[in-house]
Amino acid sequence: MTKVVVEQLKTLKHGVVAPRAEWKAQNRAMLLSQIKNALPEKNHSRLTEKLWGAFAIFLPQSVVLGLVRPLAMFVVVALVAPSLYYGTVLASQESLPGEGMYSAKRYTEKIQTTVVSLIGNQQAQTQLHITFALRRANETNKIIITNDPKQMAEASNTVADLKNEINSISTSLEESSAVAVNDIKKNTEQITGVLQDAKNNLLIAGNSSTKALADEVKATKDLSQDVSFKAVATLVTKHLEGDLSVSKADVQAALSSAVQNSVDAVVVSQQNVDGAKTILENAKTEVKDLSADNKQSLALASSTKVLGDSLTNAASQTQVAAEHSDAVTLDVVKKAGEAQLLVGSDNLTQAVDKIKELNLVSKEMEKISDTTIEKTQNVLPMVDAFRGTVAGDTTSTPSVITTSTSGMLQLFTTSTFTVSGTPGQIVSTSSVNSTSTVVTTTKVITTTKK
Amino acid sequence: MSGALSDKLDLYRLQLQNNPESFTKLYDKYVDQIYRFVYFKVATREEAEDITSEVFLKTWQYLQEKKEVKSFSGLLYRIARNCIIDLYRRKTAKPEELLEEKLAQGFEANDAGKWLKTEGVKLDNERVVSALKKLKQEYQEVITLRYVDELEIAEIAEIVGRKSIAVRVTLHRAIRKLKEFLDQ
Repeated sequence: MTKVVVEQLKTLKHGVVAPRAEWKAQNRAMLLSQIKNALPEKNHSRLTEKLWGAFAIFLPQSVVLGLVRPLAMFVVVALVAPSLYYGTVLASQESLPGEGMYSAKRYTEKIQTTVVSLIGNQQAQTQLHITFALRRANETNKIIITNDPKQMAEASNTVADLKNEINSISTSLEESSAVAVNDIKKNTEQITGVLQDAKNNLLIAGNSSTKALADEVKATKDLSQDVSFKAVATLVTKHLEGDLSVSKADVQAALSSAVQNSVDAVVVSQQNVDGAKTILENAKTEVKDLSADNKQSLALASSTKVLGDSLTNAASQTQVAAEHSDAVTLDVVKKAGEAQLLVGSDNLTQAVDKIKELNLVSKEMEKISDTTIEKTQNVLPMVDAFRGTVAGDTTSTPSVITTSTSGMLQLFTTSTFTVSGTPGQIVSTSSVNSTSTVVTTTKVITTTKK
Repeated sequence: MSGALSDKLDLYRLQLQNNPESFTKLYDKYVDQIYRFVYFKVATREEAEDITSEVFLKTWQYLQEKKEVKSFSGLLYRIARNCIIDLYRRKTAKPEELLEEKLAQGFEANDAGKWLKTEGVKLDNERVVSALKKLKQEYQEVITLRYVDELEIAEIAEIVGRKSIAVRVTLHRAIRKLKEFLDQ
C-alpha cells in the first residue's frame, strides 16, 4: 500500500501540480530585469576577495573557518614572520645603544648565547663572545664619533659589556685550540685598535665630562691588549707543546704582528706628543704676535702675561715629553728589531718576553701622550678666549695658524713620523683616513739569512 | 557534474562574475519544485505563484548579502517555508481569511481544485492532493520533499531544520496518516 501511495505521489511531479508556462516565463523575465538593475556594471573585486568568495561558495563555512583560513594564515605567517624577523634583526644590527632597535639587537644576541650554551659548544661560545666584543667596541667608537647625548649616556654600559666579553674570551683561551687562540689574538688586536681610536677621539675632543668615559675606554683597551698578548703567549706555548694545528710560519707571523702592533702604538703616541708640541709652539707665537699688535691695550697686558706663562710652562713640559718619547721610540725600535730577530731565529719564548717588554713600553708611552694631550687641552681654551678678547679690541685678523680644538685634531692627525734605518730598525709613516683616524704603517726592517 | 556542484558554479558566476543568467538558470532548475512545495501549503494557484515569485526574489536578495549558502536548493526551501509562515500570519491577522476556513471549504471548492480539474488531473491524483492538503504542515512538507521532489533525507533535514533521524520518523508517520486519509 505504501508503495502505491509513493508512486502516486511521484506522479504529482510530472505536470499534475506544475506552474503555468506563461507565468514561469513572465516571472523569469521580471527576475532577470530586477537582477540586471541591481548588479553593478563592473566587477571591481580584488583577486583575494574573489578567492575568498570562491572558497565561501565551494567549501562549507566550517572548512573555510576551520581549515582554509588557518592554513592561509599559517602560509602568510610562515612567509611574513621570517622576513619580519630577519628584517628586524638586520635593521637592528646597525643600531646603537640608546636607539629603539638596540634592545632587539641585544635580545637576538641573548637568544644566540642561550642556544649556543644549550648546545654546549665551547668554540662556538668563544666565537660569539668575540663577535659581540667587536660589536661593542665598534658601537663605543660610533657613539663617541656621533657625540649624541642620549647615546653617550649609554656608552659607559656598552664599555662595561665589552669588558665582560673580553674577560669571557680571556677565560676561554686555555681551553681553546691553537687555531681558535690565533683567531682570538687577531680579533683582540682589532678590538684594541678600535678602542684606541675611540680613546683618541675622546681625548682630542677635550671634553671634561667625558674624562671618566675616556678612562674606562682606556682600561678596556689595555685589557684587550693584555688578552691579545696572552693569546700570543698561549699560541706559542701550545705550539711548543706539540699542537701543530697552526703552522710554525703562522705562529711566527702572529709574533711579528704583535711586535708590529706595539711599535705602531708607540709611534702613534709619539705623534700625539709631537702634535701637542707643535700646537703649543704655534699658540705661543700667535699670542706673542697678537699682544705685540695690541701693546696700547692695558686690558690685554695682564691676560697676555698669564697666558704666556701658562703656554711657556705647558710648552716646556711638552718639550720634555717629546724628548722622552723620542728616546723611548728609539728604544722600542731597537727592542722590536731584536724581537723580530728572535722570531726569525725561532726563539719563540724569548720573542714572547720581548713582546711583553714592548707592550709595557707602549703603555708607558701612551700615558705620556695622554698627559701631554690633556695639558694642551687645558691651555687651548685660554688661547681661544684671548683671541676673542683681541678681536673685540681690534679688527686685526690673527695671522698665525689656528690653535682651536679642531685645529689641534687636524695637527694630531696629519703629523707624519718617519724613522728610517738599516736592517733591524723600524720605518714608520702615518697618514689620515676620512674619519680622522690615524692609520699608521710601520715596517720593521729585518735581516733575513738565507 | 553533480547538481550541488552545478549550483555552486552558478552561484560563483552570479556572485563573483556578476552574471545574471546564472540566476535564471537556477530559477529554471528549481521553479517547479518550489511551486509544488508552496502549492500544497496554500489555498490557490495565484497564492502559489505569488509566493514562488517572492521566494526567488528573496533568495536573490539573500545572495546579494554574500551570506553562506550550504545548498542552494536548501536555501530556496527555507525561504519558501518562511514566506508561507508569513502568509499564514497575515491571514491570521484577518479572521475572514483564516486558512482553516479555506481548508474547511475543501479542496474541491477552491481555485486550485478547479484548476486541477480543468487541467484534467486524474482522479487518483486529485485524491492524493486532497489527502495531502488534509495533512498537517509538518507531514505535508516531508512527504512532498521526499516523494514529489525526491530530495534526500539529509537535504530535507537541512530544509526543515531537524535531524535526519527525526525526518525519517516524521516521514514514516506522515505516510501512515496519508494512507489513513486515502482509505477513508
